[in-house]
Amino acid sequence: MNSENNWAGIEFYEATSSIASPLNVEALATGWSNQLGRSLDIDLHSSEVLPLSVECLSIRLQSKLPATIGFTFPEATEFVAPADVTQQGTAASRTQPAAPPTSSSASDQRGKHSGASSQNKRTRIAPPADLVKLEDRLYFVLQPPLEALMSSAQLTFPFDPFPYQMEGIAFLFPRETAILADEMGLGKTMQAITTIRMLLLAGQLRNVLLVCPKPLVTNWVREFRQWAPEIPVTVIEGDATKRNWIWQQHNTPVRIANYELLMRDKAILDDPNAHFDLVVLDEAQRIKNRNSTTAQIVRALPRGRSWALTGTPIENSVEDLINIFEFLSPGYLRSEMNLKSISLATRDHILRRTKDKVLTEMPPKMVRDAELELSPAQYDSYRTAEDEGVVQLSDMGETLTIQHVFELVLRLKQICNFDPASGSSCKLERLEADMEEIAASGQKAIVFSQWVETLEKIAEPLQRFGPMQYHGRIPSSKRDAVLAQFKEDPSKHLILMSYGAGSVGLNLQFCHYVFLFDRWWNPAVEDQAINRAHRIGVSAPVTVTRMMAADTIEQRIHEVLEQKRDLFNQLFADAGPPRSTGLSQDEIFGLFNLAIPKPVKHAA
Amino acid sequence: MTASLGFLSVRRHPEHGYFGGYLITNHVARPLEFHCTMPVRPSRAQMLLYGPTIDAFVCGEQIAKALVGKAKVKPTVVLTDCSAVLALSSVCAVHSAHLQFEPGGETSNFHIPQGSPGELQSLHIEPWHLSILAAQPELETPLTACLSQLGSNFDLTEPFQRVVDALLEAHPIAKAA
Repeated sequence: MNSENNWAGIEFYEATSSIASPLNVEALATGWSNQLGRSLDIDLHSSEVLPLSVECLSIRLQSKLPATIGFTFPEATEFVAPADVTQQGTAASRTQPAAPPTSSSASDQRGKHSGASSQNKRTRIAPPADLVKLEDRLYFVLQPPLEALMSSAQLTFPFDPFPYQMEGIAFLFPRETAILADEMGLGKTMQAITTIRMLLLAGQLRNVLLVCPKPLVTNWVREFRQWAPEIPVTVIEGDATKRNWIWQQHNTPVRIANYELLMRDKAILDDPNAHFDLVVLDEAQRIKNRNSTTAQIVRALPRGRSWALTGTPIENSVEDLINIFEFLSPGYLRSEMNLKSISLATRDHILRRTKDKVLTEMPPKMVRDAELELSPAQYDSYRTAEDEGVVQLSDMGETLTIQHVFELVLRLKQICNFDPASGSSCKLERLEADMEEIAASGQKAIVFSQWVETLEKIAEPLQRFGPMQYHGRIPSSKRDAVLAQFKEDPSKHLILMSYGAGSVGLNLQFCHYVFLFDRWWNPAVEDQAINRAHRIGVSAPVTVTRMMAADTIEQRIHEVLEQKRDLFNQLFADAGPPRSTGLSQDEIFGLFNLAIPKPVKHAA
Repeated sequence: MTASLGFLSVRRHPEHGYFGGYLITNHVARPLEFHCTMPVRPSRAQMLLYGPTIDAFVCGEQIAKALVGKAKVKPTVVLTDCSAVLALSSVCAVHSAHLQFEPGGETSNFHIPQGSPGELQSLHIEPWHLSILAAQPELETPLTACLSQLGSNFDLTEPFQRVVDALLEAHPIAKAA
C-alpha cells in the first residue's frame, strides 16, 4: 500500500482496478472523476420474455372395482332325513347313542382317542383329482368339515369313528369311482355305511345296491342297523317271484344282494329301467376274473357311482386290480401299463390304510412260523408221494398240465397235515400242546385249514377243548348260532374254520390265537383269516402261528407267497422299482423242478 | 328366510397382489354362495398416495365392496379375519366385524394384510372376541343378536379356512412359491 492511497488517515484501495467498466475513468486524488460528467454511452438489448408453461398431471384414484367370479350352491342339499325314511327307522336312534355292538365291542379301543365329535377335529372333503370344473371342485372345498355336517344333521353313532375312518368317509363322499382298500379289520363296512347314510340324507343318493358274498349279508344288515338305524335296508332273497317283486320296489334306499343271486336275476337287472345311484361291491376281489359271469353282470349294472370294498385289491397279480377297475371305470387301466403307471393312475381312486399305520394303539399281531418236522410215518409217506409224483409228472411229457401239478401239490399238503396211513400229524401234536396252554388261561383260538376233512380230523382228538366247526358243511342258517355259542360258552376254546367260509366278514376279536394249520395259495386270503381276530376292538396281542412242515412243498410255497406279498407292497407303498408280478407258470412248475412242456402242433 | 352369515377374507401375495374371497353360509355352516376377486394389484400412484391406508382402501373399499355387491344373499353380518376389511363400512351399509383368532393357512406368500381401517373397539360376545370400528358402536346390538342365535357348536373361525382353500383352488398361481 502506498501513500497515494492514504488521505486523512483513510486508506483507499485500488478500487478502480477492480471495477470492470466500459468507461475510461481516471480517478483523482479526491476520488472524483471529471469524466463522470459525460453522458453514458449505453447500448440497449431487448429480450422477449416468454410466459411460464405449467402442466398439471391428474392421477385417477377412484379405480374400477375388482372383477369377481361367483358361485351359488343349492340349499336343498341340507342334511335332513326324509320323512319316509325316518318313519321306518328308529326315531330314538337319532338322538341317543345306539347300544354298543355285541359282536364287535370296540368301545375299549375307541375310548382311548378323541373321536369325530371332538371339537378340534376337522375332516375336510377334498375334491377328486379328476373333477375338472371349478364350480364342482369348489362345491366340495367349501363344504364344512364332516364333523360339522354330522353334528348339524344330528347323526349319532354307537361310538366315535376313528380319525382315519372319518378320512375314509371324506374320501368316498365326493367320488363316483372309488376303491376302499383298507386292511381287514379297519372298518370298511362302517365307513361305507356312514358315507351312504350321509349321501342319502343329503339327497344325493336315493337308490343303493350293495353286493356282497352270501355269508356276509346278515353281517351287512347288522352293521346297517348299528351305524345307520334310520336307513331302511332290504335284502334281496326268497324265490324268484319274491325277488322279482323286491327288485321292482323303488322306495327302498338300500338293497343288499349276494353275488350268486345276481347271476340268477340277471334277466331282471337287464331291464333298462333298472338304475342304481350307487353300486357297492363288498369283497370286490370276487370280480378279479374279468371273464367270469359275476364280473360281467356287475359291470353291466346301470349305475351312477361305483365303489369297491376290498382288503385285497391284488390277490395274485396286477391284473386283479385292472379287472376291478373295469367295473369302476372301464378301460382306465390297461394290461400293458407298468406298475409305476398303474400306481400313479390309481392313486386318487384307491384309499388303503394298514393297521400298523393308523391303529398305533391297537395291540400288535405277532406272527410266528412254526417249522415242524414231519413225524416218521408222515415223512415216509411224503417222500414216497413226492418222488413217485414227480416221476409221474415227468413221464407225462407234453401232456403235462398245470392242473396235474396242482393235484400233486394238494396231495403232498394233505400228507403234511395228516399221514394217510397212520393218521399221525406233527401239526396236530403242536396244536394240541398249544391248546392246553390257551384253554388253561381261558383263551380262545381259531384254526384255519383249506380242507373240511382236516378240520374234522382235528376236532376229534381235541374234544376236551370244545371245538366248534364253521365251514361249508355247516348250513348258513346255523352259522350265526355257532359263532354266538363259541363266543358265549366258556367251555368252547376252539373254532375250526375253512378259509372259504371263515376268512371274510366275521368279527372274532375275542380270540387272541390264530393257527393256520395249512397255508393257502394266496397271502391275502391268509391275512383275511388272521384279521378275523386281529381287528378293531381286540384287547390283547394276537398270536398267529403259521404251521409249515420243514423241507416240504409247504416251505417252497411259502417262498412264493412271500414274493407275492412283496408285489403288493410295491404297488401300495411306492417302494422301489417293480419286481416280479406274482406266481408265474414257471414258478408253479418250478416247485418240482419241472420244465413247462412245449405246445404241441397238431395237424389241421 | 334362512339366517345366513358372511365370511370375507383377503390375502396378499407378494407377487400377485390381493385376493379376496367371500363365503356365505346358512345357519349350519353349509355354503350358499362363494365369490372371489381376480388378483388386485394397486398402482404405484395408489400406493404412494394411500400410504399406510392402502390395505384399508384395497381390502375394504375395493375388494370387500365388490364382493358384497355381487352376492345375492345379504347376510346379517359379515365377519372377517382381516381388520382392513372393516373399511367396507365407509362405502357400504353392511354390518361387519373382525373376528380375532389365530388364522390357519397363512404362509409367507399368502398372508393377511395388516393395515388398519381406523380406531377399533373390542367386543366380547361369548365365546368370540371381535372388533368393530370405534365409530360404529351401534353394531354391538345386531352382532350380539346374530351370533347368539347360532348353535353352540358353530365354529366361526372354521369357514375362513374354507375361504382360503377356495382361493387357492380358484387361483393356483397363489400356491406357487
